[in-house]
Parts: sequence; C-alpha cells; structure tokens
Amino acid sequence: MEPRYDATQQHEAQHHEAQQHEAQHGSDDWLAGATVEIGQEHPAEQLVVSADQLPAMPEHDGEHDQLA
Amino acid sequence: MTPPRLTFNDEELTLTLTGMGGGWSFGHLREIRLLDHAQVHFPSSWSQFQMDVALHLIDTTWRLRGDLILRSSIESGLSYSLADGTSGTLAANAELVEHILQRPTVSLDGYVNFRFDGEVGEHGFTGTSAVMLGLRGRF
Repeated sequence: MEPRYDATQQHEAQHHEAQQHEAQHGSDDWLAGATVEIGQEHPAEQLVVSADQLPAMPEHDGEHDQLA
Repeated sequence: MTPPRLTFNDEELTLTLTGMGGGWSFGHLREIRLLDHAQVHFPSSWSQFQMDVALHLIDTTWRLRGDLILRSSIESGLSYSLADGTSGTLAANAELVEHILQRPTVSLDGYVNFRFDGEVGEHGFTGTSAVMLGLRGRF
C-alpha cells in the first residue's frame, strides 16, 4: 500500500509546479486587470530605401537642392 | 558625384499612441501602419519633402523591424502591476511573449521613437534607423 504522505507530496508538487508554470508561462488569470509596461531602445541598423520607393523629389527643396 | 538632396542627421521623430484598446493587442501593432493611429509632430524647419521621406522611412522601418522590436521588448523584461496591487518586473519566456502579444487589452498606449541618420540621393535613402519603444497595456 502506498504511504498516504506520498500522495500528498505528489499533490503538493503538482500544485507547486502549476504555480511555477503560471508565474513563468503566464495564464489568463494573473493578467486579468493587470497593467503591463514594456520599453526598450533598439540600436541603429542599416536602412536602404531605393529612390523609386520614396516620394518624388521636388524640383526645388531647400539648401541641398543643387540639381534643380 | 551628385550631392545628397536631403540629409538626416540623427533626426528624431516620436509617434504617440493614445486611446487604443478595446480589443487591441500588442501584437496588432505589428500589423498596422503606425502613422494611421499615432500623432507625430515634425520640426517646423522641415520641408514637405523631408516630412514625406521621414514618414516613408518610419513605415519601412516598422514593417521590417516591428515584429522583432515588439518581441524583444517584451522578452527583455516587462513591468507589471496586478489587479491585487502586486507589482514587479519579470523576463518573459517565449510562451509569455506570445501570450502578451496576442491577448487583447482594455487600453493600450505609448510611444515609438524613430531616429534616422543618413542621406537621400538620386538612388534613394542610405543610412540607419534606430527605434525606442515604450508601451503600456491594461488587460
């Protein structure tokens, strides 16, 4: 016959595991009514956009416009 | 060599997102054109062309990097304040990241700051874009 405390320990272990899972993996319950804030600075990365994807250059556009 | 038509010298633009919610999720931000839902103010000295280019660079940057920016921002750590008053910070694993991305919020607001450095020449824009993001969602 299995000792009774084994079953209790197993139940407690499962309960503890469920709590850990909820804390680490999230559940619908703990987030209900919660406010979550995220924020991060993402470093500069190279960006290349071809001319045909940009707005058409005006005939005259300020001090850099030396083509018009 | 043709000189640049326009120069971005670490120019920053901040998009303010307010009043979102009622079903919006963090993940929805990946799928939308931010400029359709945000307020942005340009420096008064900018020409219309510079504004138009900047708007396009914002769209392009977000389309290319928006998903990763949102994911990594959640993954790197989030602050929470629970309904029972408990608050804290935690690093989210992949499962929680996905859950937060997909779970609808009651309200969602924040900002996305873009910084551009580069030149617009006859071949287009060549340079860099950096993004800073801060969002608050209530579930």
